[in-house]
Amino acid sequence: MKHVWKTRLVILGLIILGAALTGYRYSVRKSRPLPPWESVWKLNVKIELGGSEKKQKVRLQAPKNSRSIRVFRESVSHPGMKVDVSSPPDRPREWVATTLGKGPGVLDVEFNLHVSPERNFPDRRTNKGLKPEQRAHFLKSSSKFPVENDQVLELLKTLNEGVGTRSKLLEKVYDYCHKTILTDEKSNFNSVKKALGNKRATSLGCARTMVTLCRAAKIPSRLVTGFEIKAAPSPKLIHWVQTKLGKGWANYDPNGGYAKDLPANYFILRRDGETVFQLSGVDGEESKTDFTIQRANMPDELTAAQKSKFTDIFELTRLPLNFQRILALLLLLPFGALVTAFFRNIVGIVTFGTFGPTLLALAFMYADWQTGLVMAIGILIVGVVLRYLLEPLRLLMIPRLGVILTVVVFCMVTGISVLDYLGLATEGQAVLLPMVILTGLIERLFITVEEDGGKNTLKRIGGTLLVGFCCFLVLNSKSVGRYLLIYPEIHFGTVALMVWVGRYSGYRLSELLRFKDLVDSMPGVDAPKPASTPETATESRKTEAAPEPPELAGDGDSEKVGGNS
Amino acid sequence: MIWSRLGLVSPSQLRDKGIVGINKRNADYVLMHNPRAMYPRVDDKVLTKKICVEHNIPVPATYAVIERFGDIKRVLDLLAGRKDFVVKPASGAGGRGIMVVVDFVDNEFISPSGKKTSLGEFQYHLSTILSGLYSLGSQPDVAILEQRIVRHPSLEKIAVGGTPDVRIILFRGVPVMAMMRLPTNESGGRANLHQGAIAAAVNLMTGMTSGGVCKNRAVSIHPDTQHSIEGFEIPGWKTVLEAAMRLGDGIGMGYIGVDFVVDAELGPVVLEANARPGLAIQVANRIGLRRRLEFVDGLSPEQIKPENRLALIEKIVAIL
Repeated sequence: MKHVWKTRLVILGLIILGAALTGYRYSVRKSRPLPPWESVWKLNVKIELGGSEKKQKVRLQAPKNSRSIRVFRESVSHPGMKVDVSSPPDRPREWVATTLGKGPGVLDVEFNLHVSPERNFPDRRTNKGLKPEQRAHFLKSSSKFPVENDQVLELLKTLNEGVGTRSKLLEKVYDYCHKTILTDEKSNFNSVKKALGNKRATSLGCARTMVTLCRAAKIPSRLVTGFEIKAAPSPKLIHWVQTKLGKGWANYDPNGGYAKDLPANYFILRRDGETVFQLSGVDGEESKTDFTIQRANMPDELTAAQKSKFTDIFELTRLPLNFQRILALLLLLPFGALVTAFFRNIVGIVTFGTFGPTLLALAFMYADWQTGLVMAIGILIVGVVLRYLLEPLRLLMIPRLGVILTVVVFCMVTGISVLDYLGLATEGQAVLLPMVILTGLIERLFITVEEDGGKNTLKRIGGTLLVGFCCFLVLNSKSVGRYLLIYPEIHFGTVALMVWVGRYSGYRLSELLRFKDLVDSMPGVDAPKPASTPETATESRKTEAAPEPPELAGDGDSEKVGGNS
Repeated sequence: MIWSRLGLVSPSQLRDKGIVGINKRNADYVLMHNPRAMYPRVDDKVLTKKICVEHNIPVPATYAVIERFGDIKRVLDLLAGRKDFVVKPASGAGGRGIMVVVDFVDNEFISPSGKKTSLGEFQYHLSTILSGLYSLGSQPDVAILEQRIVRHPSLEKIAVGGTPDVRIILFRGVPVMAMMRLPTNESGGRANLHQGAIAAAVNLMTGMTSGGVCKNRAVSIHPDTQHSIEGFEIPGWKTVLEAAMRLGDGIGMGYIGVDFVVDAELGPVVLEANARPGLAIQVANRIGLRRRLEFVDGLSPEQIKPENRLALIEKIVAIL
């Protein structure tokens, strides 16, 4: 009983320790300086309205996160104005500021932006298709987008020649706007007609032309307006195009020459519009807009963090990225071990080798699992056939394994070469490990076939593959690996679970089958003892016995396996 | 009941019957009562035999121990003209690597079934033993050449092709359960249960067999000889019990299985001891081990002194 408490205490201690360390790191990370490639910015958009007889109204769309820019704080100041927030369904959230009486008013909104080219901020774009009325809106012709203009239609016809799909056409439209129409801010050619006529336009004119061409080609599209988040004395608004073919909106910037992938610092302030603010009742002469972009002050710790500290050792995310990938995989291995322990000790599945399944799963990690499985099975077959051919030579063990290893090496090398020839990408760097595992597996496979027969071998292969696949599912979860890299102390919990499995003394699931016949044949409360059972009665039990008698000496029960499994 | 619908027995039923599972055996008995440092005493048969001799326990006579590859060439000298012997790896398991020789004619060794092995092949077999082919964890091993056990004539009717062995499980030096394993044609003469040998319960008090089990099915007749395997008395049972208990003390492990064979001349001799005895003995006896083990666990060191053990067996046999 004392021992039970010892184990429980260890488990509890590990869990508390793991939770405490994880919690501590979490709190430190929250106030931790950003990695050097990330930055914090302040974007101010401000409009000052002069006095007016009429009521003046200003609307400002609330920006959404982009893939690499997150808005983590918004603050609005609005002297002389009343501000409402409207968030109609299917439309972006907006601030609506109205002047109080006749007096002047100011709307000043500050966005705090976190720019990180590395991570994907939660993408709140809806992947839903467009509703019919939305679709009509994004195909609509207007004075800015003269879709029905003859010049536009004619150009589209030339572009469409020999092009089958709308996505191909979209590429040609983009190419035309990017390459044929020169961006020239001084030209003042803002309209589509001027842009097409002169092959020269402002960035706005260029973007308008692309939207117009897209709409004429029945590709829903819109013009977006925003900023490049960078240090500049007077930031300029930039315009680009978003089109919707299938999922989500795709970005095209014909001025900058970006298709689909925009630079990380592009930030949208207005979707479907050319100005940041929408004004009504405002006298243009009397209003003044002002934009500033400033890199925000980094937290004080940053300067300290640039000197390397001893405690940095515990921060694995500071390592180079290719290191991190390998470390993340290593950190996942204990989970593989836990999965194996669970299957072997609680379910009772037999496998080849203790960590054979984990290592097999690891072998699959370097190719996709289908390729890995095909390669592994191919090599196993070749290896076992070779092992049979070697048997009459009666080689000593180590030279014999050496021959098998050599052949396995040849198979791997050829396999990788073949995969490369077929154009299937593989990473050759990490094939060493699977190779050695497979060599060991071939020998074990051969011995099992020879000594325990084909049925037991198949059972073991099945068990190894099943557990291996479960390990693969665990090892393949990249986000889990990332969290482990940030919080490696989670493994205190893993160890706690292993200790629990390690002291689990209940029945294995497989034993519920193994001892079934025994329980059925054991004397019940009133039943006679088996020793006094007449022979005929014992004989008749044969018919009701399970069709597949479970093996008597299973995995952990084999008497000398060199471990207690 | 969900378990029976799945064709399984429920864990609570197994608990009620006092059946010990592998996890419980390992966690509560093997790991708690068998110190790791003692393992070589059971895993290395050379060492086991030495302990047996020290404690005056009969074992098959050792003719030679081959430890170096250089000795393999001299194997005929080491045998000193003996033509009837057994070769076994000292750290082998499950009967692997064992070779039985009954005669040596024209540089060929002859097995009981008449199979001939040339001297060269025989020497190759010795080298595979030494290189660790049959040993635990493929560690380099040594080969034992020892006296061949001749099956006791009274066992002929219930064993085919090989010698039956008797397994006794001891806990804290007290015998708690016993069984006899009978080779069949299916098991190829080996007393190996999962290869088709029969396991029969042995009454600890009397040494009498009862109800056998073959591959988890109840049998009461040997399939090859058609002779009843029930009510058979193991020759020299008292010797077996006493030798087992002495060996248990000599090995210094709390939970072991001791394997005997009965030789026509020597009587019962110890073949090996096992630190992780299997659980099939419960199936053979149709009794769970747990209540007996818990009974012994509850005894004071005074109560399990060697002189008190025989009296304890009477109580243990009554525990079902």
